[in-house]
Amino acid sequence: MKDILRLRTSLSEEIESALNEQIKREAHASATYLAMASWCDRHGFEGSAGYFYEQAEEERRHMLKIFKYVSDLGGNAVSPEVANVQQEWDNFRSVFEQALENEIAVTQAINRIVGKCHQVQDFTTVTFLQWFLNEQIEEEFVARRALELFDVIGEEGVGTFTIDKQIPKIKYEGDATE
Amino acid sequence: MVGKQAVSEVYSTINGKVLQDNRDYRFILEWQGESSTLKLPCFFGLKRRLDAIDIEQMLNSPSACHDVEIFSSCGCDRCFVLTIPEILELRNLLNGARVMLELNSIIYERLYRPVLS
Repeated sequence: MKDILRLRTSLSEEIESALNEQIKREAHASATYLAMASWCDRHGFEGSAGYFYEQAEEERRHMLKIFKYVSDLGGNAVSPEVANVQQEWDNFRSVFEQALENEIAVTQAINRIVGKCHQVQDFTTVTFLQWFLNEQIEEEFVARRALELFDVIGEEGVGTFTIDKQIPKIKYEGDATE
Repeated sequence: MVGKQAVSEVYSTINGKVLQDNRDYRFILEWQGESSTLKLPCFFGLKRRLDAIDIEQMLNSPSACHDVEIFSSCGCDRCFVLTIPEILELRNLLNGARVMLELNSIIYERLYRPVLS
């Protein structure tokens, strides 16, 4: 009996399913960042809106990267449904709290997939996901630093205006991903 | 399982059987006397569709419309009308077939391909 399963795809059903879940998460993250950009625009935080528009694009690129990987390996990449995207936040700070929570959730989800890949000895996917884990170091750093600005600058007086100006300037200059 | 038969049996239950067509790289699902030919993605699509059925909801619902599940799957020329025991048996058949296919892959990986390389 021919090994049709392996001839058709290099991905196990379990890993394919986990990667499709991650595609969904990245798409949801992209949509959430877009909603955050809209909220910031509505409330006059132009700098932060620009930052979130860029983040939305980046999450979409991440989604496409995984999508193409699944397809390239002969798997079934599923175009994700995006629903229940939060549109409103209580205040400026809570937008960034949510952004950091989302990034942490994404990191943990990728870690879980890497764990599964080790279990089934899918080292090709482990190598592929290594790029995402490195990327998450930067993503979490930037989201955490943005939140820190609220404590460092303070929200009184021109505080929120200054924070909004500083957000787009945050850069990760560490060498952890090099 | 490494062999050159045109059609090999993958897994069977009382009412069904999954066969592999080694020439056309397709699967033949025999279920309650009827036969359907499926490509590999469609085979797994059918399995996913079947796994997504909420048995608990069917069991708890007093409505007669929840006594059977009617569905078709992309790439399969058949419309299934299944009761709960039939859903469970068909799930068992497709899951069993999947396990056998994975076992076949393991046999190839451990015994057959090392000889080739």
